Amino acid sequence: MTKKLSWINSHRVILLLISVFILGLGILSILNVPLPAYKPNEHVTLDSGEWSRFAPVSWRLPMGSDFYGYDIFSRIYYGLRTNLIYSMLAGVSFLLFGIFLGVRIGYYVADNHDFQKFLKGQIVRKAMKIKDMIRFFNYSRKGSGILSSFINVSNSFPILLAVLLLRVILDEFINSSSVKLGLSMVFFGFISSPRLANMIIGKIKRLRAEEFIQSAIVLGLSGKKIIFKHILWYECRYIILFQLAYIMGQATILEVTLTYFRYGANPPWYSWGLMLDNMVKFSERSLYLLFPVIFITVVIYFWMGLAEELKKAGEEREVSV
Amino acid sequence: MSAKLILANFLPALNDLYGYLKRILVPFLTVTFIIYSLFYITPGSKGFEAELIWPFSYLIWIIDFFSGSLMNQDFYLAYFYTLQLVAGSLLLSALIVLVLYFFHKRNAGTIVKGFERLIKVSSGFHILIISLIFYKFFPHLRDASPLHPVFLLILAFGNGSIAEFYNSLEAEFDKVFQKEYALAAVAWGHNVYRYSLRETLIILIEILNARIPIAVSSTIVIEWLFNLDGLSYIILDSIKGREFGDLMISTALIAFTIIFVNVLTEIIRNRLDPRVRLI
Repeated sequence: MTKKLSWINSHRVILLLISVFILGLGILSILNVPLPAYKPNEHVTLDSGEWSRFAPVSWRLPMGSDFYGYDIFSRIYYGLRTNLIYSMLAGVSFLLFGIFLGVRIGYYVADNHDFQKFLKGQIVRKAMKIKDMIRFFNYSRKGSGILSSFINVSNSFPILLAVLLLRVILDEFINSSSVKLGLSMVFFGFISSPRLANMIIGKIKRLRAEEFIQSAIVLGLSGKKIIFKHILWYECRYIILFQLAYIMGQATILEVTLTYFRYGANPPWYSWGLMLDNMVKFSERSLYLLFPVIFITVVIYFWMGLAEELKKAGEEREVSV
Repeated sequence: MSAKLILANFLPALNDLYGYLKRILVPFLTVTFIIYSLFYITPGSKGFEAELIWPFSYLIWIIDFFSGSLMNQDFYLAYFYTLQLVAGSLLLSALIVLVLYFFHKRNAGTIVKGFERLIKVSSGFHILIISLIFYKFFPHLRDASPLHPVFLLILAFGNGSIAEFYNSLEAEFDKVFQKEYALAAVAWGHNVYRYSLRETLIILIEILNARIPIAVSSTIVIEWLFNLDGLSYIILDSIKGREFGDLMISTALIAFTIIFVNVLTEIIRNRLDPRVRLI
């Protein structure tokens, strides 16, 4: 008896195939495996020595060549490398700041009593010590208030505009375009981190009253173990992974946009944003120039689809628990 | 009795006004002060040739900003165009999403499911790519007015905007329709939409408010590509020309709008939801 695939299942199968393809190609490109026949800065030449502009598809040129005689597949392949590396930078900073903010506000907010005690007696003495100042910001209500207002402000300012403003300032201090793009992506992760922090705060506040956390505290488990193993890994992993996949998708969009506006990667890094410019100029002469468009769409769809599936998996798990 | 208590007890309307003004001005002044200071210390910044030193020059700048002497007619027009684009695209997405959700609740047929699928798939549409395709294959759009329906559609569908809108609206509306009063209304045979209108309207306004920064980000791409004389065009133009003065004004205008709409949303929510007033 043949079983017909439902629409949801077929969607998942397509997503799985795309995931395997993108991740496989991405890992190969990050490891710098020379999969394409030509290097991205190497012209495909004819026997006469001329550049082979808009060459047709063949085994050596699976996506043809562009106006300058460059192998399109090679540029897409190394563009994927650039994109994944910079997206990962954004993802790592997003995770670090998001988890830090979420755990600090959600788990370590002290009672109001501690803050008043702190204010009464020891401001002058403690303010002299940097370490205690950091503790003050981490543990007091005042500190969490400042962090909460950061969450509110960062949620209500256009992210692309914030990154562009940072870029303007960086232009005056740093010459290397790849460093500037890297810092912009780290900044993007940083200002997006309140999304994750908000979710972790909500989850931790709910879980702190649960019996298993109280038992872990009574058993003498360290705070780090309770937070990282019992709360973050066992309870929040779907939230974290779903948010991470979403931010990777947004970082992909941002990297392509910045590069298109000439604020992104320059050679030796190859980016899809520059290929889009070629598409606008020459797509009437060769439809192969639309390959980057398809590829970018597939990659963004992969991250967004992955995020949606992880979100669903997390919701299903909560219902089953 | 302090002035604050007198204000709260005897002049509640004035007290509310004071509270709202505070909530607009404090974040606005903070954001603009940080950006101004960063620009001020950046070498090669043009447009900051003030006679006074920092931070007094900021005070002069903010007074000039509110008096309107910093902005010429172009700024007002550009601001108006960008507002039109943002508001138009958000209203269009709200309309599409609401109609789809309504049909989804009534009868999720093949066409409705197909549209839902399209919206989910649209999460992969990069706004730059959609804009470039329209720019390439529809050249007449290059001189079109900012309120051209195509621009609004691009803004609505680009970067998975409408997919996120639909997901959050569906999740929140479903919660409302699962509440006891809504189920009771269904059981009594009443129109559930009528009874839950107020609560769903609050949710819709809050989602629209949350989407404004994203819509403003998207307008940067559209305005630059299609040469629309909006605020985002001025921003990119001044970044390229290193005109920090213009950049500061445009950023301040966008920040002010977003903060103002945040407070406006709060006021509307307070008006619509009687439970908030009780607290």
